[in-house]
Amino acid sequence: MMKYLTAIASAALVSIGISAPAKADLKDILDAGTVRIGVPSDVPPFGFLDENNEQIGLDVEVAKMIAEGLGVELELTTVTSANRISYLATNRIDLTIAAMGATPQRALQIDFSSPYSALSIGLFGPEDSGLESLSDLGDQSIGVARGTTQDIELTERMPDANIQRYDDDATAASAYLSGQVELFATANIIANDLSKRDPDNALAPIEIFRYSPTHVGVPKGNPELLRWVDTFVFYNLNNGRLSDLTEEWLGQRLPESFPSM
Amino acid sequence: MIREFGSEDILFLLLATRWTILLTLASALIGGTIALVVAVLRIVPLRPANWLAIGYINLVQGTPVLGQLFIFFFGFSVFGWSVGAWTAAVTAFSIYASAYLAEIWRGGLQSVPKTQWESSAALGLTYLQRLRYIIVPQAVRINIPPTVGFIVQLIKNTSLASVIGFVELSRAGQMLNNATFAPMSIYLTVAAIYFVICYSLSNVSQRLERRIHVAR
Repeated sequence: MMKYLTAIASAALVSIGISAPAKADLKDILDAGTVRIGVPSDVPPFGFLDENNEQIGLDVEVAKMIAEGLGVELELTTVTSANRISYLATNRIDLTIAAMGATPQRALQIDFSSPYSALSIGLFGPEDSGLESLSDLGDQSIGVARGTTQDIELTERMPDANIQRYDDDATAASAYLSGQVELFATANIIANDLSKRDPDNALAPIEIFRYSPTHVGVPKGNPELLRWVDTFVFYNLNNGRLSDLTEEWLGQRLPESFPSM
Repeated sequence: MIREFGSEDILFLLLATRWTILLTLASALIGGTIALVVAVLRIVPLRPANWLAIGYINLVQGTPVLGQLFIFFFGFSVFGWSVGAWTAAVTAFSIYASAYLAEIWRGGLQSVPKTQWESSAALGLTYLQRLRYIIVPQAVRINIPPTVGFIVQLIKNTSLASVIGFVELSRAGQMLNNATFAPMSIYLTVAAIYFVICYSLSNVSQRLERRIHVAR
């Protein structure tokens, strides 16, 4: 019930937000001398806390690069997968860099830049699951972080699957490791890291859905800012810096022919 | 990438606990002040005042605090008035607390026997004097346990402020869980911290009750 009301309230507010005039275009950011960027603090390896509980991750690095490129101060704001779109739509932040995949539905509310990185997402399970692809799937329960690209992908491909949604990857992982769900849909890098830490419960890939690009979110009505972010991404893809960052945080380089928008 | 849960992290949780406590204190104080007015409006022999108080209480109690948080945080920024997470959280929880405390205190005020009103009236005290010197002191004693009970609920409910990005104890635990993937150690620590706060509060309340009863 609570969840429902929240969803309705936020949807209503987001739709009001769109009609409000946007005031974060390139000139306003340069005039203010500060760019406000939303990054996650609970989505490893994009944004999470290090040993000193400082926010680090691929998205934090990209945010720093963007502030540097604009020549302005960086003001980081923590966003969650539930509020990252509302924050943009109500102009609390100028950009969202939060491991966000572009979908036509999300694009009704905010604009997406060209992708700056990408992660492999897929379905994982125990090595002896006996499943070789999604088509072998019966009524096994699958844990996934709610509203993520893997959730959307899994729901589209397997609408009848027994999907259990959790707040984030860590909770979904706990559900899997404690036996509450039988399979786990997540990013490759998370499955690998969990397997490394606990080899007895290694996660084997059942099917890799796709290589899912991540985009910078820009509020609607800011064409100059969107164009600038696209140029920034294009430039740093060509000189390899974004690929270096992806290798550092996600463990693999971006492919030579990386898509753009 | 995934790291171990260490002593640094316990410190991080304790630092975040400050915000849980501050948010509860601020909301209880501001909400309590509003509640005092609402509770009195609820019982004064003046119909329109009663209706106003009843309307306010029903409106606040009938809507989820989560929705109120969203309205104060995102709703106001739609009109170009940027409200920070702290301000939005304190506003939402103060209003939430005011409606519940008003109802609790109204019950306390009304549970003072009617003869107390009548005999104090017979002594020639005005309405406000009767309230101030005869009714409220007796109602306070009756009200301590349910008020503390509500504040204990309030402490735990402040975790809802995490939806607008306010980092208090629960949100800090959630963030650490995503860095360490060690939910058992983290949430047991979080639960232990909540327990220490809530248990101490209940303890203080019991002592307070005993002390006030001595005067009798």
